[in-house]
Amino acid sequence: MITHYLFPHTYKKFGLLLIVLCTPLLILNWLEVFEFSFLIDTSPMNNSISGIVKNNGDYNLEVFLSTVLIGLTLISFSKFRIEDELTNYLRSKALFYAFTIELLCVLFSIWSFHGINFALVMCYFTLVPIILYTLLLHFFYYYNQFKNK
Amino acid sequence: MKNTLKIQRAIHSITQEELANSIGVSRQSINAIESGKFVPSTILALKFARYFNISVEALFILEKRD
Repeated sequence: MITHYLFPHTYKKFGLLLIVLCTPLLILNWLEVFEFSFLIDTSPMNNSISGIVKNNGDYNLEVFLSTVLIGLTLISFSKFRIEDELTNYLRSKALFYAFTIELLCVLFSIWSFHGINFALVMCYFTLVPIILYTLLLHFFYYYNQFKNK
Repeated sequence: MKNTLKIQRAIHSITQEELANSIGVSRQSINAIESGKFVPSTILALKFARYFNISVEALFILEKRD
């Protein structure tokens, strides 16, 4: 069983801890009732690219969101107590459903908010995962054929 | 594909937990295999056969629709 790409089981607890700590802060920040002052850059804005990209110098949301994402990554990519064939199969199944649901959600949200005029945006969002899937699938398929000639 | 895992377990009087610990999988995997929800790999099938000291064909039986 190939599991070397997964974190140890204990990392799940760290991930859960990050989510438990940062989700309330994220919600409070989103409701604009809480923020860390040290995450607000008060230096004057300049006209450079980085200056323009800055979200008014407030990095609270970015930091909380990133921490929640890191937590989720730690949870999803760390081993279960017993990592066997069934868990591997369930991982693949979950990944497939996540990919499909995400694709449908993106398509539906763009279509419902912006209508058919944003067909090009819909195509871009849809194309990236499908292109990746097609390329990877055919790469694995033909590489396997080539190796087993 | 059906299997005689449950029967073999009953013959040897062992629980799902004991079998799972001996083979190195979770109890949920044994349950999923026994109920036909999950088909194990060749390696796992061979491990079961070796554990019960019978052939793989005696443990896993192909059905007409397979």
